[in-house]
Amino acid sequence: MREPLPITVLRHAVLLLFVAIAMWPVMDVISISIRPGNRLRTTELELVPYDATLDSYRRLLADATFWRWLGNSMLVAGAVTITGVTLASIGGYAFSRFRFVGRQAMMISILTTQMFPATMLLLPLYLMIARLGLINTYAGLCVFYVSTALPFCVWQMKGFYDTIPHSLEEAARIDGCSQWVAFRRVILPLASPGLVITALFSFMSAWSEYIVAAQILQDRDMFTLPVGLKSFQSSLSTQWGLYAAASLLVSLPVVVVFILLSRYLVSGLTLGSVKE
Amino acid sequence: MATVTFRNVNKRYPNGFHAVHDLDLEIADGEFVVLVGPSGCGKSTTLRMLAGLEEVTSGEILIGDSVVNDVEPGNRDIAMVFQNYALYPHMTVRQNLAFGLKMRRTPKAEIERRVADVAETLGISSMLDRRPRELSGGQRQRVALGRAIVRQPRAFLFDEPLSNLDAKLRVQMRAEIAALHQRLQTTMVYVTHDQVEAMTLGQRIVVMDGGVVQQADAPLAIYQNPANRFVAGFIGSPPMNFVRGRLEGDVFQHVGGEVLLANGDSAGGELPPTDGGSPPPRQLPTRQERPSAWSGPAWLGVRPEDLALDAGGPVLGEVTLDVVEQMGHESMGYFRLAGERCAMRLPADSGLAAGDHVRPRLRPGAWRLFADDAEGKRLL
Repeated sequence: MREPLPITVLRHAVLLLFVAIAMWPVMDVISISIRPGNRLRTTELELVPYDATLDSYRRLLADATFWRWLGNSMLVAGAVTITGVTLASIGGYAFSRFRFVGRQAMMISILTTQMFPATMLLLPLYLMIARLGLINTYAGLCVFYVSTALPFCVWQMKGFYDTIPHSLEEAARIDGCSQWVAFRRVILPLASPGLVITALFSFMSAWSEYIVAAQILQDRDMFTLPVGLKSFQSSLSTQWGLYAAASLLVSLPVVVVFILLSRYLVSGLTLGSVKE
Repeated sequence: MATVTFRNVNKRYPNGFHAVHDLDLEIADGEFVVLVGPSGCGKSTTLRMLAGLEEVTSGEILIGDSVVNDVEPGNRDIAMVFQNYALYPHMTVRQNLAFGLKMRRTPKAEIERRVADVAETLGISSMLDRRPRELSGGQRQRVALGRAIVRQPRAFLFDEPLSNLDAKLRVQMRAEIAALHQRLQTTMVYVTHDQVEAMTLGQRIVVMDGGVVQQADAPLAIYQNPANRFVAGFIGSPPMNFVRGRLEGDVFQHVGGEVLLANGDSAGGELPPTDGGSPPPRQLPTRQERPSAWSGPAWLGVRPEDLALDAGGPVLGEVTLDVVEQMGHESMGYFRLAGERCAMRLPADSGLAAGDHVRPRLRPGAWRLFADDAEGKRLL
């Protein structure tokens, strides 16, 4: 049945409105990043100003500290991703497959941690990290990020394992695998879409985090990108062009990673192995 | 090749469910045994305990001469075919077949030779480099079979392997499994809820209900001499007809009338069977031989093929046909008697239709009597 024309028009109008709301800030940042000087506000409406320049990008990429911060962010986000995925893949499996004392209570407590806003955990976690002597270290930052991201990741992986039929491991165990080998050779490869999602989540949460990093990191040399970015904003003048250009460059890796991994996000990998 | 022995095996789940009661069963080397029963009867649990996928609560399971209660599934030297195939989806057919051998560190050349052999036998050689999702249901089931065969295990376990296939394919695969057993002569334990599969495949059938073995015997023996009312009703399709009533001397009285089961000159238990291959005619014990409790409530059981208009024995009663099913070579008439749904065999060209009144007769001697209690033990 064909949809009446007014409905089609209305549907598209609503969708376009939301697209505009979502896209406008990004467009604006792009526009600011290619304006010369510090022209944050302008009365012009065009996206590309008549005197567009890539000057901000040039200055940024020539700046050694920007590269340093980029490296720091890579290091922290990478470490958090690897730790998070490793722990979540094993923890989620245990929750999905084994029945042990305290399982229910632990699952509920994992969910409960998600109810607190991260800012509320800031103080106690900061004190803990300070006592551990990890202030102004990447390790401190990683501990913070992993411990806040892990509950969600474990939950996510558990949900993913739940969709993989038990008979696959049983077949593997009859084929001569120990439980651990069955997990590694049969279950883990099948859980790769789940691992990708978990990795993406860990990476993004560590990559773009600002508040915690701003508390724990104190040396300018140790800054991650979001903290470094903020330092462009000084009390006297803010270099908006530089700021905008850096923002775009910061988001670039996440976009690239997302596009690269998106093919793994397609579910249905287990199709054909078993018949429900 | 090995015998399989269950010694007083019990399985109780943590939630208290007692899935298997005091199972004692000996499976001979090379025997094909089918465990059959309705869902929840404990047949799958029994198989999974044998595979090592479920722990045994008490008792012993032996493969060959060794107790395997605490042996890892992979070290029991058995192979299992699952209902849902359980093929490894991220591996090709070749890798699926080779996986178990690889895990056992079989030399590469040996693996290749055995995989090629099995693929050839099962007609899946052309699919070795495909993944399970690219195969049809029947092909997947073949690969699952191949994965079991290639290991050359001491025993094969089948967990309802055909129930996901369509009817035509099921019949075909059933024949293939039978042929496989003929060729390999390896011990096979096969779980199904389908009594036709049980009858056609098993050298011995173990009927289970409520976690208890009801009867274990050759297919025909179970069919002809079911130990109790459950077995009688479970094996056979359409199932055996049961009419509840009362036995008074030689006469079985039910709501629809009286049946003279007695010896004597009237159509009774001592007439010879109508064809050679049937069970021996049943005779009521003589009056002197009868236990004192002989009279009383009982169930009369008779198979649909032993109930016909021209069967020659006593009339069961006057009934009205509800449904007549034309099968081609014959037809089945369904009716109700004393509240029970019954079926009888009719000639294909009987011309009878729903609503017609008929007087089905028992084939002489081809009836059974069961106690009217929970156990429903066969009296005769």
